[in-house]
Amino acid sequence: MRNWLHKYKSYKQRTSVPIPDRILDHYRDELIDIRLPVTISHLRTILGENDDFEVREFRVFGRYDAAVVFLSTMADLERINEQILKPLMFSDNNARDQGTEDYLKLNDVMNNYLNVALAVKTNELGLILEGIMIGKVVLVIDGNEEALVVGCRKVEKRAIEQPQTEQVLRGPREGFIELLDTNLNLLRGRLRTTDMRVKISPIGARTKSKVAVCYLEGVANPKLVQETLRRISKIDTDGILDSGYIEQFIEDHPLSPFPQVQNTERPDKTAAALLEGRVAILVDGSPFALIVPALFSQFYQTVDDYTERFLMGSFVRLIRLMALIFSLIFPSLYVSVISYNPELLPTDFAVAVAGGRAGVPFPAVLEVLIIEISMEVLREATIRLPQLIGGALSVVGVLVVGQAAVSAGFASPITIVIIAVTTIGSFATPAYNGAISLRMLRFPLIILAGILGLYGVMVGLILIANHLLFLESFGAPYLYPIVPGNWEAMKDTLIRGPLWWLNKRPSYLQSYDGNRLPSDDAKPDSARPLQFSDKEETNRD
Amino acid sequence: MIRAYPVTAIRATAVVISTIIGVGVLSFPKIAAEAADSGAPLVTLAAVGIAFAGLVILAVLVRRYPKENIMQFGGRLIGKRVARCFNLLLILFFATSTGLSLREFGEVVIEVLLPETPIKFTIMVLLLITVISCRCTVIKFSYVHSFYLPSIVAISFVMFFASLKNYDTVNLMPIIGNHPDGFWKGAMSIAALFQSAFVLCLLIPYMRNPNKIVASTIWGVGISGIIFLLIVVSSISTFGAEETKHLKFPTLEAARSATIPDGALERLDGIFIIVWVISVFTTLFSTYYFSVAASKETFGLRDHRLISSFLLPYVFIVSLLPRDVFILTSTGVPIYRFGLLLTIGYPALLLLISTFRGHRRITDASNA
Repeated sequence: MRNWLHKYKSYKQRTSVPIPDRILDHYRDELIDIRLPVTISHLRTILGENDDFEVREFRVFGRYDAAVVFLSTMADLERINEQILKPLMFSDNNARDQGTEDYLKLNDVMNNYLNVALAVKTNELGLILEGIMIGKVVLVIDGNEEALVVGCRKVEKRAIEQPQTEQVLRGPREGFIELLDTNLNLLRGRLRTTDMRVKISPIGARTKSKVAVCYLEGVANPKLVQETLRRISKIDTDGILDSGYIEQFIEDHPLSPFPQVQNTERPDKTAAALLEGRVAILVDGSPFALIVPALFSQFYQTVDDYTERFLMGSFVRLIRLMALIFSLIFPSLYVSVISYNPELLPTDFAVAVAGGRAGVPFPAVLEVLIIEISMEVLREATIRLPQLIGGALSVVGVLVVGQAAVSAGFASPITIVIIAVTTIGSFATPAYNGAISLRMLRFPLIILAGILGLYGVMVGLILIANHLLFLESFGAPYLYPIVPGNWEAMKDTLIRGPLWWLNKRPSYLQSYDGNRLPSDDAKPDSARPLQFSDKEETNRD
Repeated sequence: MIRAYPVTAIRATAVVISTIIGVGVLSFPKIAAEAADSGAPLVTLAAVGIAFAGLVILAVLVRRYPKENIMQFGGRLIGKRVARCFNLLLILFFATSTGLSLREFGEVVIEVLLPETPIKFTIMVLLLITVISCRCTVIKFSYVHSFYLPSIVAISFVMFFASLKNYDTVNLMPIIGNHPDGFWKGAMSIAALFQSAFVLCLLIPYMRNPNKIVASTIWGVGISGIIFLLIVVSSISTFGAEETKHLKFPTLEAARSATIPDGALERLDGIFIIVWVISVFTTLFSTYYFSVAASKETFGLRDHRLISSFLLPYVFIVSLLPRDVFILTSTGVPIYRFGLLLTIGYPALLLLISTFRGHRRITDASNA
């Protein structure tokens, strides 16, 4: 027993074996040589096997031996020409005459000739290699103990487009793209406050993907920020290729069907979340930002709720909530009423249903399951098809699943209606991962309905509700603000209260600053009614 | 990470109400009618009074020890061994009561919804979700109750109002009943339905403001008492006392007679039973959770989740023991009445001892 316990403990405390970046670790502590040819040959032995590894040797001002080292696929060749080679090789430079010493000091080059913003002096080989790998250019000048690592990365990016998964009728049309810098730029453009903090660190032993954690200082609870950073720093994997990877490492309950981290392609949504006191996580290479903590109520909320007037927003939100519930329980209710308790239906309708089902050879539960599954297959097929073929497929799908199935005696018309309402309901849910979790749970409910009728459906619903009640996202109760109840947050849950009513931040985030606006006596003296100046505001963007 | 949400007074009230309203509501008008025929509402009122007294005694007692639950301070007050005996009796009683309620609801489901399904199966399903849910903490326990409370209260009132049109107030006369021989016995039997609210003694260490537990108890018993009164009035006035005595589940029958005029649903009793699953679940959840949590304290375990699975066979066997619904009532009701001795007597004893020892309520000032 003790032995076993010991084994268990050592298993639990097992420290991970770090995946080495072999070349980097090997040369981490080495310094570069003062002689140019030695340094270059050293670099060639390390990276020379790559065909895109380039060493361009030249003479600075026609006098001093130097070289720029870079990966031709990563570095921006135009900028190397314009910003590094041109100023250093330009023969008309008066520096040529000043240089009386045997060698050119790197400091002089950096201070006087290079017109590049990002440049770092270093003599560590590890840093130099790392720089080359991410597209920087290394300038080595003979006779210097240090080299200059110049930021000159070639940035390939697609244009900023409207987010495909979260379209809005009214609201900003910008979406995140794959480049972290651009995404942070979009975010900072919306939050022009000095309180915004961005912490970037490389995650993934081999990919070293840049992961940025953003929050508003003084608004987000420091414990939440710490917990987020702690969970991210504990991620131990070789590669992070999308923010979805991060989500799976930091969520509270990996076995739950419900997502506990929200993802969004929209900078405005991310900014709104930061203003509420949440924490956003962005990953280089992924157009999706993660937002923690995430609650159930966020599944059926959209940007449109807030950009439209509040009565419309509230109405649409209620409709969406109903659609959400439909998509979960409609088929199972149908199966249980048809197979166990048809007496609950009004007589006329019950007769109509029985008439429709007259030729169908299967029990209701089997019929619904078959149609549901074919509907899911159809949905899955249309997602990945090119749009040209997608249209043809949906026509075939409509014909097969709709008309033909009924006339073939395969399914009753009412079943088709039920499944259609369910599917449309699940498409009306804005969050794809939220919708799919409920779609998944629909199947066990249908089977329970087939076994135990309405009683089974109720038992299944209690189980789901209890699971939701027990669920937490970063310590926040998942069904908040319904349970535990909170009046302030209820204003923006089932309905969307008017914006002037929503002057408190959600209390479960326990923001430092619970009020969105300072109270009247806390306002500084300088706060006065906004006056628009006659002059056009100078915009530095 | 972020602090836990302590149990608020409103949530404590929710626990009390949703625990009290359970499967017993379906059959208690029969007990009341048997005790004092048309005096049934009065019997119920007396029962509410008894339960009220008992639970307030408990609430006053636990308020004196806001950092502990009854298993912990009980040992200090009357000695470890005696307290342990009482604890074991309580565990046994609540586990048995879980089993009997399960069986009773199983009978209802068989009668209304699933006449051909084996009762073992319907019982097992409900028991399983109770056992799975009991693996949570006390704070989550209170979440569950407050989540379901609105639907429980709503369905109770809907049933009352939906069956209003069949009322005949003549059935309620005379108010004191024609033969009120078994008045107090009946009152005790109905008061016994309230005793599962004993579970509130688990909440006190987790409450934000432990002093409010008494107010929560009063509100909780008050609201559920009103619901009990409405239901007994509706059954007696719909069927009359004599007819009520012959019905297995008079509340259910009253629901069956209710209709929505030109409604989308032909019958309401099925819907009623479906929503009633919730209130039965919350009651089972409370009694089972109490047994589990009390076992954890009594046997000095660190975690209650394993116990939750260990108690399952006992509860399941108890629920299958009675041969039919009549034996179930004839054995169940005395067991519940015996439980009153335990759930009111034990706290009363402890309260007496604690008063003699000079323990008073710890006020906020001395607490801080």
